Amino acid sequence: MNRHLIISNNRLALLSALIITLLVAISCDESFEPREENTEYFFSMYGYLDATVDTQWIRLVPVREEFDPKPDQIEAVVTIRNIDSGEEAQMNDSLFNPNPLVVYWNYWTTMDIEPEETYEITAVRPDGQSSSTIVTIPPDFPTPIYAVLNGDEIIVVRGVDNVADVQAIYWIRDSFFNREYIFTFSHISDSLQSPFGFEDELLFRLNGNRDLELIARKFPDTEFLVLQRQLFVASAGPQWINLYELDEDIYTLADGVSNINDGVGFMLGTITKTIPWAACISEEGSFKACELEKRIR
Amino acid sequence: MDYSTSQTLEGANVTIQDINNPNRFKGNATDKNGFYQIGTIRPGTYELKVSFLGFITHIDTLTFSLGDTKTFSLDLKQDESELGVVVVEQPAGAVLREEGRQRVSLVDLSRVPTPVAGGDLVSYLQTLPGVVSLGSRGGQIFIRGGSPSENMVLVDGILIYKPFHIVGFFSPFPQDLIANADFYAGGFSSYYSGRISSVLDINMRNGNKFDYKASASISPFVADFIAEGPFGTETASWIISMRKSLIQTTSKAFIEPEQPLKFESNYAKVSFNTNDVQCSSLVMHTYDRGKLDFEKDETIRWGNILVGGQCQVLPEDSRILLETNVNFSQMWNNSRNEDQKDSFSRVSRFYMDINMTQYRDEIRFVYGAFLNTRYMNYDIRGRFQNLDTERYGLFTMGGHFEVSLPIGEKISFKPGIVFTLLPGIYDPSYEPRIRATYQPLGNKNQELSASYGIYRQPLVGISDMRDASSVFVIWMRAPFDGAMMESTHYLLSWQQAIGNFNWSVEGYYKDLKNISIPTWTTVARVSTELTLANGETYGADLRFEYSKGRFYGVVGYGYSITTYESAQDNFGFWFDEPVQSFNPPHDRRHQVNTTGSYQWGDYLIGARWQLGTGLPFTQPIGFDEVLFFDNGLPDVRETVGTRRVILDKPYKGRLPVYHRLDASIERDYELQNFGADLNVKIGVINSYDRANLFFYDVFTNRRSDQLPFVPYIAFKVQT
Repeated sequence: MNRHLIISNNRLALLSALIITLLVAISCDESFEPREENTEYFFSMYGYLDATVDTQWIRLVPVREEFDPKPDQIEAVVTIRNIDSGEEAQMNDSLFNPNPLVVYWNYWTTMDIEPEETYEITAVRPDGQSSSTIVTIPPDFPTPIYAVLNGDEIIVVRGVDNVADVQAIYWIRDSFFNREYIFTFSHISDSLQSPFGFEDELLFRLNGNRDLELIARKFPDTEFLVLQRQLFVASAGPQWINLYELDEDIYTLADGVSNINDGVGFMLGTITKTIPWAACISEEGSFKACELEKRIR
Repeated sequence: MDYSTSQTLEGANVTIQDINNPNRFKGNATDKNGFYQIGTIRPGTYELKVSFLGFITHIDTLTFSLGDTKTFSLDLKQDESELGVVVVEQPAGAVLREEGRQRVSLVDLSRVPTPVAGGDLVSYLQTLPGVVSLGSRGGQIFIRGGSPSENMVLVDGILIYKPFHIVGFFSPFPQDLIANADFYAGGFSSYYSGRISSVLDINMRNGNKFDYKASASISPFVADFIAEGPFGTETASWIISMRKSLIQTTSKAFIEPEQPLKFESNYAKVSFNTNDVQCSSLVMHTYDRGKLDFEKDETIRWGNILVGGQCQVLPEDSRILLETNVNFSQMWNNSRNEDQKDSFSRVSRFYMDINMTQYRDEIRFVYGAFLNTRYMNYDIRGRFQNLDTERYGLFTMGGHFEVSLPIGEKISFKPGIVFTLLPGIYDPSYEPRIRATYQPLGNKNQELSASYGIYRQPLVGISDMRDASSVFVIWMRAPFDGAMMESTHYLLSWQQAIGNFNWSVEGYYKDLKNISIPTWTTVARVSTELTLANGETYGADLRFEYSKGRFYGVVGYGYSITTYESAQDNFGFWFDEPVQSFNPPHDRRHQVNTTGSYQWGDYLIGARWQLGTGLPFTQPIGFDEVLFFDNGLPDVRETVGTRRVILDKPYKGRLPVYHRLDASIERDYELQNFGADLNVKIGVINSYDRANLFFYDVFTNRRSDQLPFVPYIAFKVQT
């Protein structure tokens, strides 16, 4: 009986020692690494290649460990390669510092971008880790037509599978400071059914009064003069998804909206057309496409 | 009942012994209402003995004839000469439960080091395994996976919606104000309805019927004042109290960082007692205000108002104890920051019930009916996207029935049911519950107990669980039609008392349905949508308690897993599967609590060490700027982008382990010239200055810690 008691006491002591050791080991665990080690996403890449313009710009940000961005030069080699022709160019970096608190880097190239061709953009870190994306430029399309339909101002876009943007561009001058400003408003979500039943025809309503009200809010104490108005249409390559229908939560998920391999972000291929906000009438008296304009911005 | 306060004494031993045949002996213990029943008594003359630790034993002689039914009520007087011993040798109560109920005594409270003279109920609760508090501020308690709004806290039968103060050590229930409390971590009986997680039923003490008494205490954290006395005759008494925090002012001098936290509670109770009738009414007001994230500009305020009364009537020679409650309670809270207008929510409740306890031989019946009217209004524009501003009422009526059915000396069953009608909103609700106990030796020292029950909650308290520092709660009907919150409890426990050593183990499983939670999002904002989750909580609590002479110690270990399963659109984008399982932010896997006290001469030394493994949080992977395409093509030369935290899968990470040692030493002095006693307590919080994380802000890469090492001294003067 006594022997059993002694054994029981020894076991109890052993168990107690084990428990205390375990607790001490757990409680001494000071390690706290709030961040999950990043082995998935090396660069964040945003922008679009536009076959209509001379210079291509993309935003490149290394996925960083700190909340605030650093103004340091990005340690990356960024290249763009035409997959169809094999032509390759290194993109140049450019620091943007619009105010003392904001700094970011863009990369640019003057390499020719052609419709219906596919490009690969790659950003490589010094340690060899890289992010890349494939961008296909859509085919060219007819110049869109401004028209008035049942009292609504609309823009008619034909020969396009996907429309990435429809913008109204305003160049204005305020009468107090005599300064000039450019405002853009997207009407991509104001699409209409074609009343004529054409499958390759897309219509967008232009709500100019709403745009002007929004501009007027920026100048509550002064009047402004509209110097010029333009309409801008961008078609999208096959990478396009209906981005304007997604909410902010989806956007901010790393994989919610992303076509970057080993990175985050979204790149697109486009053809863009800029026309005056004006009606051009054919000899038959119907609306026709106006001459293209150089985009104000 | 206690002679000086008319407070019922639960657990008093009542025995009768045949004077002519000492072997003819029967006994029972008083229940929570001080009620007892001894049946099947043969004709004869008996010695009645009523005893309770700390009170003078009452002995009387009774004569029974064939068919006699006698009602015998009495008051026990406190044995002043024994009080000092009582504090040390009070039977252990932190381990053994009765019918799933843990009785919290004043001695239990006094053993937990608290930075004030005397203990506090909320500090004690945090020593129990299965009870998770998020830290030293916030006043939030999660019990076995249940969120704070799923816990029922009753104050003399009145529901209090936000029962704990913003500083985690304190509540409106200091040791000096309460008589006792019953705590059910789950599997509670059909007497309680309308909550799905747990019940804390607090009995406030009555004032002294014979003498005027007062006490005042002060510490760097809080100041208290209590006064009590008789109302003319010796059948009525009153008690008032005021409690006000000092930490906001005093922390400037000795705590880094300063603690912008403030609270107060005021309370008054009157009670009237005769042999047949006990009635009381109380009024309570609480107010809390502060910043839980000291660096943010968000201030939270809340308050409670409680008004009500209760009566217990035991007519002479009757076998039915009648109890009734009529009360009103209200809670409001608002949250204000610089980015949005105030969010405001208020809930008011009028409640009345009538309950009866009836014995038929050894069988006990408890049944009753209740009416419950609630009125809610909230204005939370900008906080939850699919909620706005609303005001409406909710009327509930129902009844409960329960029978305690002993089978022989060792087995008993306790089936019951709650029936609730919520006209026009939900279908009628039937909630069956049952508890079975087996005592192999025919006493409570060894007991196997099992229980099952369905619990539903028509009113939900919505809070933003993405952020531990958010304690703003919107009380409302379940936001999705017909989806009342529901939990099914399964419990199995064993408890054993061996001399000075007690131990118990209880396993539990809770099946959860229709829990309203905020949708998970990667966007740093207060606004979100609500969605439904189902889930489960399971685990086990293990407790050991040792009490001998001047030493007392208790060790508790809790293991728990809480999992929610929710369907959210974002999950579909992320996982290619819209339904995902995750551990919510209050899922603490392991918890250890140890409390010890030792009476060293005139000094009482107390210590508490607690450890909890880390709570879930969503880990950041990195940071960048996101450019949106939803409003047209972004011009990268002109667009700065929106700062983004790239997050890992929801709640995959764990905060670091939390542990802390608090200690105190106290002594009583007699101030003979003033006819008063002085209690002096010196102690420390977080004695080894552990940097315990309160929360980590993934959007700004910033941590906020709980209280550092804090020494304190507390004084209490009592007449």
